[in-house]
Amino acid sequence: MLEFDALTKGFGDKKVLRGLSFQVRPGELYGFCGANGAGKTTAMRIALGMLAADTGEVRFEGRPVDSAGRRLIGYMPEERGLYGKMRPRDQLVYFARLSGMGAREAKARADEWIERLGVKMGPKDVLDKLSLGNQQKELIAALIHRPGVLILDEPFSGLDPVASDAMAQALTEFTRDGVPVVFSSHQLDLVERLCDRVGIVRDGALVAEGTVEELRGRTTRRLEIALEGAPAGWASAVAGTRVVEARHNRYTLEVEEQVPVREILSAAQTHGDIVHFAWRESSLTEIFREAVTA
Amino acid sequence: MNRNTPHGPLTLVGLVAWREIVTQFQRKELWASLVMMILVFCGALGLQKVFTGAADRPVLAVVGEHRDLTESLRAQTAGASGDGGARGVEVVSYENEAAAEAAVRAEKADAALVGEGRVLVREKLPEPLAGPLYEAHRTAQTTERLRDGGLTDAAIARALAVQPLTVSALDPDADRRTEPTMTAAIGVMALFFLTFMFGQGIAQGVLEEKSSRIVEVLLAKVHAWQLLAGKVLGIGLVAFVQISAMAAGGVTVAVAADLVDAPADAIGTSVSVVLWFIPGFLGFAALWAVAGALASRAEDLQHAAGPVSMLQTLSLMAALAPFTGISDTLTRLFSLVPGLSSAVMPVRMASENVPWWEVALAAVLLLASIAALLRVGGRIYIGGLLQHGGIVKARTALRNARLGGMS
Repeated sequence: MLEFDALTKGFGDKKVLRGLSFQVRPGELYGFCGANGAGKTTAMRIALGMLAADTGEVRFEGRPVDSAGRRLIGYMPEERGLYGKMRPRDQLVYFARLSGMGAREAKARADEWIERLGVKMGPKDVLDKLSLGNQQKELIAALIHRPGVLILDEPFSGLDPVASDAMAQALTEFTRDGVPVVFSSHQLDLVERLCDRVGIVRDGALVAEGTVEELRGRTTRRLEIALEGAPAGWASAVAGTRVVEARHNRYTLEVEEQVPVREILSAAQTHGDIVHFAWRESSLTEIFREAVTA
Repeated sequence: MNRNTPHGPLTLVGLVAWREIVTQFQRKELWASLVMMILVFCGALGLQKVFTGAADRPVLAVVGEHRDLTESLRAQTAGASGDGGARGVEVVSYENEAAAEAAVRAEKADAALVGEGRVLVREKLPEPLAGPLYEAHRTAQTTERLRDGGLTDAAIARALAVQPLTVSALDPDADRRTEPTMTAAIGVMALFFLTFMFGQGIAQGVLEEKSSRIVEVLLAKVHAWQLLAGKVLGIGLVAFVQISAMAAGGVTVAVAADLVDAPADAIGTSVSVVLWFIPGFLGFAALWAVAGALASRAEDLQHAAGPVSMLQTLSLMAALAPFTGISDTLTRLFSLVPGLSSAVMPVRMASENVPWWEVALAAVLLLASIAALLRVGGRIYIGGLLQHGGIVKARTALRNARLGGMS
């Protein structure tokens, strides 16, 4: 288990983290979401030892992450790059070796991943000579050193759909091996589709956490209603609700907790014939928006 | 799950250094610059030869017998060989005056002895030829008159056998030192360009790692000091190989082509220059790396590295101070100041006998300053690496390192 425990961090007068805590369980894919400047990258850099926390600590398998523990971490920074003038295989071996892997195994793993991801290149090609798609695949292969935990900052940013699928598949395979994976992303549809749990951070503290279903359960209920023959703006008159979206004759209403749904149904029927009447599941984007603007 | 055993700090430094070495040796530019440097080194040694006036022996064209005169000249030549300055005179016989005159015009001979007491020259009698020729002429005339007076050749030889003057030199090595001093100066100049070239390479490499965020991946695996040390050592080793190859190649060619009079001195000086180069390079390489960490874009690099290139240029100028007639005290001082000493001391050591304690003091000061530089520079380096946007001020980088608790 990877634990971020009550992390605080300030840069001068600016407080970036204010008691941030969350856990990533073995084999769990954890989506770490937040607006820009919320403290995601700072938290990740603390886990990697690039920054020191003012208070709190990051633990892996119950022990504070020290320099030896950091070698277990597979990390990909947001605008990650590779050496443009270095041969792709050489840099995979280099990164794996820095993580403690032996030379022979690193070479074998590099060859295995290059073949598995279908990276096309000549034997003497440097990275800059590779197509963008192949460079993106090479990025994924940079995690070949059998990390015990993965911390990825915006791993899907800038990937084309093919590379994005390959990345998703690679992350899923890591979790299958019991590796805890935490990644930040602004692509919330991907987070919703892939992650077992999601944490939303605002101003350096976690404001929502759980499975997407759990988060949905905590958001305000929404009804989507379409009527035929109803006057424009009829929905504003329904008591105990608030219109959040109106498109043609279709309205999305936030429904207060204590209001019975049959009362809304009755109120709607007085304005016109029901064409559509259903609960609408909040998307992660809506959950996120609500959490960071509350 | 990770089953890897974490490497020790030295292994990590070694891995970083190894990457730099492999990457550098894969560059075609490196090999091109190596060949160019050797050529420049040899060319500079050749020029030195020209400027120090160690020219070929003067040639005297003679027409006819002139037995006494040529014997006297050859005797002087035999006595002068290996004397470092006067190398005697080469006497070449021509069939007639026209051929001898043609040889002088074609600059195949410096002068032609065409008749009894008559010498042809292009403009004036060259200095190295004048003394021996006048002496030989006087000896030949005297011999002839003594022979006319009835003396035998043996008696004449005894009469002319004069005990030579005993010359005691107050500074016998003065002339001999010129060559090593020039060799050291040329070596220091070559190293200046080499350090400049590799320094810029280091700064660009650091900037590349920073701007592409590779450094974040690296810092998740190694400490900043390990990264800095590995980078400086790796590129330093490549530079050392290059300078050693350059010195070895240059000296070999120079000795083979007889460009230097005292090969042992040239080799000794080259070794001294290279040994002083090592700590000097380490210091400057660390400064270049710090400059790279403070820049965020390629166009910022020149500005960020301005103070480093200025200090390096100053060190070169200081190394050339002995040739400018500047006061000895100032040169002595320069040779002790870290930052300048690695360039000045080898030149000074080649030109004079430097007291051992001054050499030791310069070395200690240099090594201490490098240790301090790596410590402070390492802090600036890590503080600058994670800060983007324009040029990061050294003070801001130090503050970042302190606030971030970076290591």
